[in-house]
Amino acid sequence: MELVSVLRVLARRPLLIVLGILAAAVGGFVATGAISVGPFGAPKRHSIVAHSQIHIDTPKSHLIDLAANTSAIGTQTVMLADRLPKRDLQAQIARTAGIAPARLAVLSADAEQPAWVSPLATRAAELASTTERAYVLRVTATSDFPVITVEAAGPDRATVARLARAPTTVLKRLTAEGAANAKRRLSVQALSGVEFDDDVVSGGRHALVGAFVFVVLAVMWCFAIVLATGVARWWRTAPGDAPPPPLAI
Amino acid sequence: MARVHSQRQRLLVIGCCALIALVCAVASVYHVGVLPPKLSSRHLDIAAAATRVTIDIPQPLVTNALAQDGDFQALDKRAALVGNLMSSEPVLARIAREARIEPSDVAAVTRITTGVQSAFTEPDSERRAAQIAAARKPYQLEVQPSQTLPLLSIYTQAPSVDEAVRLANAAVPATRRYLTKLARKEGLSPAKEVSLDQLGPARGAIVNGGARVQIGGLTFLFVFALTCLVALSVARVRRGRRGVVAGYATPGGGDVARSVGQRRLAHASRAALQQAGDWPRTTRVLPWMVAVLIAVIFLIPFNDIQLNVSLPIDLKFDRLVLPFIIGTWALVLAAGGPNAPKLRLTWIHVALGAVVAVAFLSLVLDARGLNQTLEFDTSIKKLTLLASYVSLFVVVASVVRRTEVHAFMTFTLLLAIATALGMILEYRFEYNPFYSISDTILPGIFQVGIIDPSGIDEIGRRAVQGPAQVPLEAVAMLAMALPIALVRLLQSGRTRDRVLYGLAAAMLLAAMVSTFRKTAFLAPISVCLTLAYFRRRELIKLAPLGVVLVLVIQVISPGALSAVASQLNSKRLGVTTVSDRTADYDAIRPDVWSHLAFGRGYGSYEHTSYRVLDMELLRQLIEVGVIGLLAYIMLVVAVVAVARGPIRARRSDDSPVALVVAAVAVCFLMVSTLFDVMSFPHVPYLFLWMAALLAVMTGPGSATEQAPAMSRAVPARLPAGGGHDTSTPKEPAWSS
Repeated sequence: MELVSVLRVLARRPLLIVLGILAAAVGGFVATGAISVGPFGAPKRHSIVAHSQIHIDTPKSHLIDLAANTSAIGTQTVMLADRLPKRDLQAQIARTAGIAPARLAVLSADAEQPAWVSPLATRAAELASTTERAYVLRVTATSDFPVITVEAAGPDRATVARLARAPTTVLKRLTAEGAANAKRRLSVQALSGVEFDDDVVSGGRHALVGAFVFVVLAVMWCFAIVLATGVARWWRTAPGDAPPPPLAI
Repeated sequence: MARVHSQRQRLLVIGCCALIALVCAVASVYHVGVLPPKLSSRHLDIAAAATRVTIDIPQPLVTNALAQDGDFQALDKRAALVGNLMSSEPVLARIAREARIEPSDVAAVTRITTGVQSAFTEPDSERRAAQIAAARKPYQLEVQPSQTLPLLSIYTQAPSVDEAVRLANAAVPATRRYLTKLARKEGLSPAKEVSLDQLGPARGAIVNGGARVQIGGLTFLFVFALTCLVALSVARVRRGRRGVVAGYATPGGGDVARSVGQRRLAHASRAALQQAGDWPRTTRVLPWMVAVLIAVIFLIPFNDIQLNVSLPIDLKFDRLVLPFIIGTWALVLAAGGPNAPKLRLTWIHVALGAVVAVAFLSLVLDARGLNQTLEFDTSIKKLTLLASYVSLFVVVASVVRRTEVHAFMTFTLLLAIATALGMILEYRFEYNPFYSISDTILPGIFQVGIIDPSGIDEIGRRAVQGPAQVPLEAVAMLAMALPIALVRLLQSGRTRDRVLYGLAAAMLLAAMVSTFRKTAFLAPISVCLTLAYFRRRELIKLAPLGVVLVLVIQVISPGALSAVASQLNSKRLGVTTVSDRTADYDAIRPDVWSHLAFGRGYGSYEHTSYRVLDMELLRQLIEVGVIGLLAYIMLVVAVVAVARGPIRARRSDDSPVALVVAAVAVCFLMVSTLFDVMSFPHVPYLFLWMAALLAVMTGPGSATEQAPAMSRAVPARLPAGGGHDTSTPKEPAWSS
């Protein structure tokens, strides 16, 4: 078995192995987050995620009215969802949720997929799905179904709950402004209450990450020892010591 | 003392190589001035920004409960029109002025996003020529109308984030002003004008972070490797000359260099080899790892299985297995010992090295251009895929012993038969066992692609694809295993063996035709023609078997044979799968002429961005130019050339392997004319696997690796120079 020779090489350098394992242990300890070094040891942060759904309906609900005009309701749902990232609507959502507008980003899931895949469109569309703002509201809708799904995320549970509810209020206002006549006005209803997901935790201490980093570092160190031994052996062999390997022709 | 001197020399040479590489790397990312000497940074950062615009009427339809679907469809069409208007010259000039940018520096394009076949939207030669001319402009504006909504997505590219955002934000007001001016000119009431509404401010960022390091790093690596290679070659030639003068062992040159120590080492090595045994009766890890990888290639749809982890590289299943093999190989190589991999250098290695070198060079030469078109990352990803292919070849060629090749060929044939059985099952029962079983047995962290085994393509053919991504790939996989069955059929003396190998060939052919692809005829024909070239008389004697094969295929895959044959009717050759291929020849002219020698960069021609090229040779021509294409063809030629000697010699041990691999090489070249094989990893992996087995058979020193079993059967009579043992029994000629 070839791996025996690898183990023999390692067995000849016990001191290096011990040093490497010690270094890996230090690396693993740092990676647990117990000490604040680089990306490790960042303070523990909770991100609260909440969901809600908004139902876009005809003036007389098409759930009961067979004569209701539903031919464009799916398209209108997607277009209403797409309007939420507009600067003025985003500001209204922020105000309704009690957040400073500069701390909120409203993202449309529809903007994340370019219609035609090109390097520029793909990269630029990726920008549409990322933000560093503290509060994020992501809206998703498809033309098959007159429902807008809202996902709100942020550090504070009460604000996130308000944020998840805010689009309903803003869309109601928008449809009211768009059609003064109630018979021409789309109905906007919260389909469900706000539901919370499990908290997303980042930073803090992670023993498992530490163990993983320890194992990876230790294995890489052993790998490096064996490789370095091979290179050193090659280096010590003068080119004149052996004839050049033949080239098969 | 001589050793110290030699080490110093080596250090000096490596230092010089590193220095040259460093200078080239710096020159690739900085402007280097000589008089006066100065170093100024090249601008390599690319920023992008995105925004969206809706098209509506003054009384918004979006909030109107009485709006009809037809109203939105009319708006969709209007949106596409406005999108095209944005990229027209007068509006583009307004947008540029609004963004405070020189209009001649801006290029714009509006994509066709309506749901039509891609063949209709692929750029022809005129449009592609215009795209190439526009691609080098620093500012780019791309407009994409939505497929279903009256909405435009606007993407911009610029040297800085501020400019990219400004350009994106300028598009709507500039277009709106143009439309208003037009409406005034026509005397239109504002209540009837089209309304453009920007959905939020443009968001931008640098999108090619790390480009400077990538370009500089790639240049350094390439130049360093190249200069080291040149230095090694020079040293080799010098040592070769000195060796002749000093009486080193040259073929037939005596035993001067075979000192007592070396002979002892050789003896110890042979003893260790005998202890270790040959695969599959071996405790050596590496041959088993290689066998597992080959089984993965045949039985698992690895290119459709991805790790569900967000990483900068695509972690497909093979790229998870291969690093373990390469890591173990590197460890064992570094540790040395009798079972360490033996690096052999053959002409196949040289030819493959040339392919890799040209791929790297094409990227180094056009790195800044690819960075500008945001395609450099894609090319690097493709380069890592090429490195995976080459790694398999190098590992196999150094790990597998000459006495193991027969067993590995049998293993390959068995795996191919298993694949064929699965494909026949898929054809008859619309159930793909490869995808289904992979999905069942792999843990949830892996995402297995979803396929429809009953799906049909645009010209109504079933999509029987086995473990591959497309049916053509599956055909190529089986066609590469077919020569093993055929050559053994030619060789076998016993009726039982003939029946078994004949049945194996029938299974493979039946599975190929079950894909309903014309390639299922063309690929086996290329195999048979190659065998016929080298073994005419033997193959003619097997002609009656052909009739039996047709009958067996008809039984195993009923209806498939006639369906494929009917597609070759001249009246049916006008289908899109044929016309698309012929349309490619004219369409790629601008790409070829703009980068004739080394191409636009390996892996940079994405079918999603340009056009689907149904021919690997065209793809090579575009990406690595005429020189790269020649290197690619020479790789196949090198394999056949290396195989030719053993085939002609008709030795019983290496002649059948050489014949199989020669047929595989010709088949690979044939399928390279039918689809882009390098994009479908099963095929290049299998080709290089077979080529590596040939390298093992023909490589230097391979004859010294006698397995215990083989040693008993064929007494080892080793030539002094390590060349082939001419005393091994010859393959019986069928004519005798």
